[in-house]
Amino acid sequence: MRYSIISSLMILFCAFSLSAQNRIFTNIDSLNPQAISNISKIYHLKDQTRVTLGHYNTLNSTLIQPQKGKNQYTSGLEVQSRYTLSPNLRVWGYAHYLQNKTTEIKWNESSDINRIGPYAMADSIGGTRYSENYEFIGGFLQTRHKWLWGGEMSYTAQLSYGKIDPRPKNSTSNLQLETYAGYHILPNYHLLVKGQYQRYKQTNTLKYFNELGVYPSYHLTGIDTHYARFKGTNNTIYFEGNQYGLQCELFPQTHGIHLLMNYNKSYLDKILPAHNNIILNQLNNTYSQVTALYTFKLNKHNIAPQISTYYEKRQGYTHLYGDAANNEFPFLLSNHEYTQKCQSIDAKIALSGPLTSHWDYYLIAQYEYTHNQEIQKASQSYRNQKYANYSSSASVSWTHALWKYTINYTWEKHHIIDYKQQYSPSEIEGLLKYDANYLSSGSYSQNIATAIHYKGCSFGEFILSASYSHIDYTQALQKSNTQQMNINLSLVF
Amino acid sequence: MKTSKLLFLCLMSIVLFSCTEDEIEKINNKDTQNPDTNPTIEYTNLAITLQQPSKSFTVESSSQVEVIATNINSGKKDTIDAKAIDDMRVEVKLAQGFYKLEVSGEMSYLLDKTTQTIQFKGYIESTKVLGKDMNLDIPTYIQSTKAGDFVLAEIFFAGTQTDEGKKYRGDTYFVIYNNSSETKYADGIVLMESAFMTVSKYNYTPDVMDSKFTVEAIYKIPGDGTQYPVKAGQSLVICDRAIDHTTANSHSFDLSKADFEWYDDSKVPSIADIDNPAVPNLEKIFCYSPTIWAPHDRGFHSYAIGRLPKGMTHEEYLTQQAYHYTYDMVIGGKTYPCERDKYTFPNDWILDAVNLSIQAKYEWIITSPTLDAGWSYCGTVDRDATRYGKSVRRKVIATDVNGNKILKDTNNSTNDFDAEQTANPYYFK
Repeated sequence: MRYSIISSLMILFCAFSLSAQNRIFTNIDSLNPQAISNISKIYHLKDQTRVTLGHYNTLNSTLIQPQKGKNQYTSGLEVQSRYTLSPNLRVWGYAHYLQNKTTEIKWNESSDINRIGPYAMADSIGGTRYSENYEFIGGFLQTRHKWLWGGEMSYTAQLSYGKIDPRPKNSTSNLQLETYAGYHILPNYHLLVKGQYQRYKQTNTLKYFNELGVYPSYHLTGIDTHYARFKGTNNTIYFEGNQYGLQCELFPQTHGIHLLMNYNKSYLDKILPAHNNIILNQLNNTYSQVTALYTFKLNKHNIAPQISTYYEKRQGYTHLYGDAANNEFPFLLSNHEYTQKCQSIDAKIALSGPLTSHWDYYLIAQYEYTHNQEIQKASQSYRNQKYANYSSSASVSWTHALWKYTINYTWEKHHIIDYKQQYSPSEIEGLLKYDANYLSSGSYSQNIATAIHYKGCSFGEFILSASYSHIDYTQALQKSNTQQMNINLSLVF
Repeated sequence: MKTSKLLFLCLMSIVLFSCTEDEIEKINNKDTQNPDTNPTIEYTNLAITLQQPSKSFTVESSSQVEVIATNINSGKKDTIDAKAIDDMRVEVKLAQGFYKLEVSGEMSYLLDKTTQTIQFKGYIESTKVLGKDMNLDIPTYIQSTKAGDFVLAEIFFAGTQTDEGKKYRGDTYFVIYNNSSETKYADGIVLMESAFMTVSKYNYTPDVMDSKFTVEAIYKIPGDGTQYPVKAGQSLVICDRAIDHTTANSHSFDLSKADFEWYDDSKVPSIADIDNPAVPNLEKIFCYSPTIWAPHDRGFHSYAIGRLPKGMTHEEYLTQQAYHYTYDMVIGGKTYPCERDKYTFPNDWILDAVNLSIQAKYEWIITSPTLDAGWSYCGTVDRDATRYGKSVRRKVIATDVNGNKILKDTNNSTNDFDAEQTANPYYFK
């Protein structure tokens, strides 16, 4: 029993791509430090349906990133299920509905700022934003002789809005298709290739009901700059983009080397419908990742050292237009004005095994180095900001083998070095820097989480989990903190 | 298993030792010089040929040429001392893009074997600057040396806001000012609103803007020629409704003391004007509105004052200056041919003109640059909530020996006016 729990934790550690990035309410009873994902591992998981009701709060003592808001309150329901249709065919599905409230968003009236940034539509007023989020995932995996193949489709939609001026009304949709093909190449190894395609859309409108008038909208172009020609009341914009990805994975049947290479490329256009659908900006994103993991057993302990590195480059183009005669804007040229580069390397080791006759442990230690640089170059100005971040973290969990009671403690420290900024005076008075404000001298965080399993009915068990994080940091010589609280109730059957 | 461990250790070593902190920094430094990953801006060497400002003499050389280049897409404005190529050609380096260009400096010419020096200006509303090298001809004109006359000193078009936060209209006004050193008569001065708008640019046919101001509303100060003398340094307030607006709106003004009001005999009973019999009305020559007229509350037009030639009747004016024009409107990729009938007013008859717009929607100036090469504003965006109670007011550059204010008049309202001033109809009284 004990080893089955340990091995299932290890499997979850290594697997469960289905919910790795999509699950909103992280439950510590399914620890997932976002290591290697491997869809084939779903074969090791038993059929299960899980329904979770959850609530999540993030409370900041100061406004850290104005474009992402201050406090967040999220509630919702998620359902996920895995089912074996035949010995060679497994299917799974996932759905969630969430309601979110984010307060004090400033200099951003668009949704999905991480994806579309820096090209958000913005104003100096901002306010509280409400959103409803839906997601549906369905997938299957089939094996035959030495082959395995499958696919997954997910659809995410979000509607966000404001209740007082300025009132954004944003609708986003993201359709993702993934296909898998794998082959048993060596006695102990499989090779898996995954292809991915995403189609993203966002319609972003901003309305004022005040009869006296409006405040100017800006179309940001990175590091404190904006597209001056279309500043004003061009309050409807449209984002449209595609993403292509390829992932190769070599993984062992039991223990051994696990290698993953991932490459994604995406293109996103920011379109102004009011002026014959001209493209204001184009954002090209390239992401590559290599991860190596080795799992082995030493006595009764499972050990998994891992090393991983990624490089992400985002290149932004501003399209310039000529004389707008007869209500038409002729395209003139495209300037490569913005670049963001992020590189990271991290080393991690995970251990699990029996601690006493009734308690199992699970330990992760991680060290990460990240370097981030943003450059914005326009005709007469050059802006540059960069920083390096060292972070170390340790996380330990204890699980009672019989009662299935888990407690987890995580410690994390960030240390920012080599922070440099070089830019001209602000183009917009009062515009707070998107990334610069996020930067602090460092942060120190602690998280404590617990989960209790209770087999309260004949067909399943209840899991109550809760976590609390406290993050202290110093920003602009002021001490601030962030608190995160999460409580979930799941029914598993 | 041993092979696997060895392979894994090798991989870890490669990743760890091949990408140390120093290495990452080196990669960054390398990237900084890499045009494929970092932002790049292409520049153009722009050779500007200054065209002759007049046919009556030939300019031989130019000097101290300054170029103000406004990048229309980024909004950046740069003042550049141009490098001389030869007598009438200068060169500047600009990032490729789309520009408004203004040039100014001195020109020399021979008159009766004596070298004369004049100040000149040149202006191109919009031009593409593309390629490594580019040549461009810019028309120039001699800076006005016209003796002072009436000028538009203040224009209040935005309206006011009530205590209840509602819009209040009817209190708009124009202030015209005698900027000369002698008494002038206001009799016969016309106040006009342009037919074209600064916020929508079309290729109008026929294009008359080099020589004429387009008109959609024109009102005239009555009088026999000597009825309304205005002393040097004095002003006239011409308003919409000459009543005490402060009784209805504490944020408005008492315009019952205005010198003139324009009154419209509305064809629609529900939209009627108010006439104060104690204040003389302007004579209405033409207005596009079948009801009442007021200046655009965001100032999307140009406003001008001028004088009809002596003896010209309203009918003669309307007959001789009728203007039929066509243009194409493109909406959603479809072209819609349009035609309109308005009037023109020759530039030579104009005393002063002021372009108004807002930064967010500005597309072009709708006067010849010899009348006004710039524009002023209240509010920066369409329906700007901050514009109420604000006006554009001409700058005072000096006071003469008699204590009269001398107002700035370089025919560029961007420089001549203070935008977004707290409106005061009696500021120049």
